[in-house]
Amino acid sequence: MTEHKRKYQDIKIPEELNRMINQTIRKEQQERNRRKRQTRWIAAAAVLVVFVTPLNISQGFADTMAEIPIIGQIAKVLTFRSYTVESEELVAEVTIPEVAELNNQAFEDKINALIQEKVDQTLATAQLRAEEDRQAYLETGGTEDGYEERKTEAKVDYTVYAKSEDALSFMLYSYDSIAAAYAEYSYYNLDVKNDREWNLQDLLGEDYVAVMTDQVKAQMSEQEDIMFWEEVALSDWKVREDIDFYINGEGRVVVVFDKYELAAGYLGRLEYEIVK
Amino acid sequence: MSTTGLNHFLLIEYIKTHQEQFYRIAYSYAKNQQDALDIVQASVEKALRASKGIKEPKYISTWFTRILINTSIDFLRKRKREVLTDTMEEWIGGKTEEREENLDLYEALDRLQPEEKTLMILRYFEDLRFQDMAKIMDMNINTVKTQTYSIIKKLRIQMECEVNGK
Repeated sequence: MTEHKRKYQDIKIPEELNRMINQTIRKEQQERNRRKRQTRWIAAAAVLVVFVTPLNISQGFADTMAEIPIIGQIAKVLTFRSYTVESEELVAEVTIPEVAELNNQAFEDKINALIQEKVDQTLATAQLRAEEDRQAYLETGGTEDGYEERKTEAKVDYTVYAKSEDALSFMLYSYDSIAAAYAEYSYYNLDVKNDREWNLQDLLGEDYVAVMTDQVKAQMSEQEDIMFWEEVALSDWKVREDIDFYINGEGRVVVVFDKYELAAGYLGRLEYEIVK
Repeated sequence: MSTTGLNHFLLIEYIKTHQEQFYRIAYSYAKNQQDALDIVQASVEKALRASKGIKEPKYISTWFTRILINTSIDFLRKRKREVLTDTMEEWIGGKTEEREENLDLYEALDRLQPEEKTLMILRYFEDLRFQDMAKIMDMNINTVKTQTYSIIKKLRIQMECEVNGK
């Protein structure tokens, strides 16, 4: 079969492919944004009247509410702000989560400042990259007007994993249209009762590295379809002390490995739930 | 925001990093550049619009491959209808000399039904396991195995006949 396989691998990839893919993604994104703006206004208008009761009834409901700009601020514990930043080189759509109504104002401020700092830093880096991209484009014969069409787009958004009496767990993520490799992820795991951030030691005990390592290894051995790197299979391999993690709806720790950390990049960020 | 936004983002990343693979698959059906590009573009559009259908990130590849294959097959059917009415004779009659040389699986694909093509592409070019093929094609794993082997057998007989000039 090798000869057939080679012929298949040799299929010439046309230059237009990459451009076409990027254009298609961009066009769909624009349509999506247009649709979202419309529905938001309709939903905001419809909901304003009905909605005065407290929001902690159901997470799904609270999530829906938080998506509507005007109402967002009423939702307890986690709200958000949305805005668009635009420069000559970059358009960024930012949705930042904000913690609210925690017991301790100082802790609340600290977390919100951390998030804001992260977002600012991300946007600054994206801007820098976009400037380089624009310069490269102009230097290779592109025009100012042409660049307007292919401006770098960046996005900052978040996803919530747990919202309970004990834990508020969410992730802030960002990426831009220059390359998927620049995606960034930051996890926030708040102990809302005691106004501090959860760490793995509190959640899994003194020997948390051993606990995680055992469980991850056991689960990896069942994933027969994944080829893990050789060094990961060695007996002295351990989970990093500073591994990313979140807390899921069942209150369990889920560790998240970086892309390429355990296996080939196309598998993305591999996650393992740690059951204690 | 729910995980839908995240899945959409992961889908975009998946599309950007796997575009050449999509093109090869599409090209194996269409056998010409313009049609293959059209198939990839239509698949990407469909997928982006339907990204809510992704339940878990780990299924993105299965999910997208299914869209790509269905789009390719639809495309082939449409094209075949057009071609048949135009140049039916060319398809049935001519080109016998050309067939003698260069017989291999890749070219033999042209003689298969679209669904049969899919099995060959996934198994022998994309190196997928039967269980993944079953997921993508929404078929029972045993059916996938039996059909794959019977196509191989059929192709082998065809090729041997032609080589022997029969």
